[in-house]
Amino acid sequence: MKTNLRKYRFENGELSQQQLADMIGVSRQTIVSIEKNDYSPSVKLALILAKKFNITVEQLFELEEGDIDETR
Amino acid sequence: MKRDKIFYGACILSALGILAAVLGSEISFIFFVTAYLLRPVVMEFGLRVKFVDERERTIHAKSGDVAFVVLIVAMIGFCMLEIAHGRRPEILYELIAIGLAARALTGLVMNGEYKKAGVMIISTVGFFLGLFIIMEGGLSLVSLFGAAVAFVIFGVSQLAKKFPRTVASLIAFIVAVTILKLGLYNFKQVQSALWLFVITPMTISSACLFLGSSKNADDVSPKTAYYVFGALSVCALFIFTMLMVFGSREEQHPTTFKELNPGVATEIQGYHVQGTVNYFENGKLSSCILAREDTVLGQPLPAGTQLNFLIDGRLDIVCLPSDTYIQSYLCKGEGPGTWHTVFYPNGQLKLMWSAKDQWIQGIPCREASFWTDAFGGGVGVHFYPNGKLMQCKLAQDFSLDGHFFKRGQHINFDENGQLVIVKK
Repeated sequence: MKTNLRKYRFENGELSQQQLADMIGVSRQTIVSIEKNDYSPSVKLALILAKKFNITVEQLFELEEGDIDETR
Repeated sequence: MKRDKIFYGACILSALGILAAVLGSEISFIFFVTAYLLRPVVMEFGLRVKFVDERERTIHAKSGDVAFVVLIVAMIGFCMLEIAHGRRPEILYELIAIGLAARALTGLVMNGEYKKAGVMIISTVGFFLGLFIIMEGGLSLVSLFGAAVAFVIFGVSQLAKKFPRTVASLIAFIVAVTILKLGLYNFKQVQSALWLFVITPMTISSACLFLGSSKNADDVSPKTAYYVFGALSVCALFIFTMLMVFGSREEQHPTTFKELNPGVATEIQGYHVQGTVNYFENGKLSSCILAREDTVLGQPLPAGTQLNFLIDGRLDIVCLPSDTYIQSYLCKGEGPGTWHTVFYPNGQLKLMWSAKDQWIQGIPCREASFWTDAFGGGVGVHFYPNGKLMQCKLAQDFSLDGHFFKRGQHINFDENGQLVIVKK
């Protein structure tokens, strides 16, 4: 899964990871892990993040080739 | 580190722990553990979701899994060590079973298929109950009766598929009667194992069957389930507290210890002892270590032997400092708290652990070791009060009275030294 979180963070006033984390009530490490693709957020957190940037979840996260095969 | 209310709550608990430690109270340990477990408990019970970072929650769940496996493996290791030292680690067995059962029960209940969970819990209780009864009692009439009861429980689980509400009511009734009639009347009448492995899971199964018996079983709200199992947990906590307060009072005898001057032998209650001496509340010796060779129950025992007494003053267990010949047999000894040597009140050996493969009353008995004891049953050598061999594990293939025994098998005799064939 590809994440565009870093891109949208910078496009929205160059928010720091800590600032974003505080805004949505998670730890900075969670933001770091999502950006590094080490952690897949829950649907709820994905929706909260998308709402924060006024975009859709699909714009924030994209499936990559092979992602669908992995779930089979 | 997240500085929220849970963080500050844990800080207060830790501070109380430090205060208790400074005051010399062992309750400090409870404060520290509570502080450490505060966040995972709050997380798992969903009390304040807003304080929980979801990634942190995933990490807690995974680390909890690892910790669970480590604990179980460590306890199995400790069990084997205890067995190797001649003790039956009943508490450790129970702890392992509690851990595994709690995980299995939680998994079944959290899955949300309550009826299926109820049926599975009852059938598992029936299966393991039957298995343990047969393992403990062999194929005797009493154990066969017990196994038949277990089989009935298993049968009830199959009935629960068709009549969940009836079976749930029946189980709830039986459990309530058992607790009121046996438990509350006298906790000691009900073994802790029965509480843990029959009454508790059966109660949970009853709750599951009730929850799963409605037509809209899939729509049981998590809140309802929380209330039901929360109420059960509170009841269980109350019962176990009562059990701990009232159940074991007569069995446990608290002891106090006294450090003697190092290197100086002191005569206490007729024994020349050194090191640490333990006393019962009635002033009688609980345990001590001999400072020099002494004769106990007519048996000379070397310096360094640990003597353990019963509360009435009778000798209970002896731990030899090293391998020692007692009544012409080489008994294993590795110091205090290790291999137990036990005597009858008449001074005859009751139980010893052989320090080598040796012939005892014409029987090749096997050396006691960690491995020989941990695998294939106990390796202790048992005697009758008249000194005749009762049981040992064979050190080699052996034939007696037309019967062939393989190495590692147990051989049994009656008080007259006649071979007893134990049918399996």
